[in-house]
Amino acid sequence: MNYKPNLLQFNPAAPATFTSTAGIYLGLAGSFTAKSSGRVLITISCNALNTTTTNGVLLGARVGTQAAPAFGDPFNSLIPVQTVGIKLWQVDRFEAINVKQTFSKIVGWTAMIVGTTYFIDMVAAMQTDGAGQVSNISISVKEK
Amino acid sequence: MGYKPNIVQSSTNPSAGTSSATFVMMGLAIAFTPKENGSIMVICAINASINASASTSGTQIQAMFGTGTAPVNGAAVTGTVIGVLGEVTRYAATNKNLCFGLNGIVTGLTVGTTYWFDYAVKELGGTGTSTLTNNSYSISEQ
Repeated sequence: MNYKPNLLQFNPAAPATFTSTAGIYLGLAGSFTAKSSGRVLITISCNALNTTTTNGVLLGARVGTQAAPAFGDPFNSLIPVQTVGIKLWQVDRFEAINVKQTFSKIVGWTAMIVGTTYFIDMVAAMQTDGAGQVSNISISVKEK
Repeated sequence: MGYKPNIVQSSTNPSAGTSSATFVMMGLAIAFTPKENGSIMVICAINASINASASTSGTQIQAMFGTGTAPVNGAAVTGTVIGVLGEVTRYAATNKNLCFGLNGIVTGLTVGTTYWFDYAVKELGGTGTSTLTNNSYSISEQ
């Protein structure tokens, strides 16, 4: 078999505003199929803000082999699902309403099954209250 | 011939910040020449701060690449955007750093051609200077 590791660059449109404190999928529907080793490096960056209060936002990344979740699906509705080492990351407080902060995460994952298609999505929750928005999303996946 | 994809890491900071309300280049002039297939991953992490009007100022940063002569610090924006921009629309205080992370995949680069990599930066609010420090700019070929 030729050595043809896969690459994915995904810049999804900004999803709708969310208010859940329990956590929801953003429905980004990224898709990646490992072609060579199943060892991948995933990097995600985005902006987030709170439109109504200064309290924080929590974000996370999920991959799974199920049908890609839709925006608003509870984040625990697809079990089992891989967290690929990216736990929730958060901003506890914004400087003001509608002030954007940047989020960025990098993780390596070695257990993707070659030939299996995975969805890649983000999950989001409000820390206590308000309405969150995520924008300028960049998801990059590089197989070794 | 063995499989020898290229990797470049730069920690050079821009020589000066910017107060420009439109994107200008930072003049990093990071050189990268693909050796194998022209598909790369770019990962950038950098701090930004503002020296005035923190409550009404922000910063936008884009990772950029291009061919030819690398742009100098303060030059008009040029090249191609990598991924999407990072943005902070308000700082906690003057001269306090915030973190930016940018990433992207670029395909179709020509093997053997040297490309420059840089940031384009724009100050939001028009009353301060956005300064970038603690730069980490990583380029790895597939």
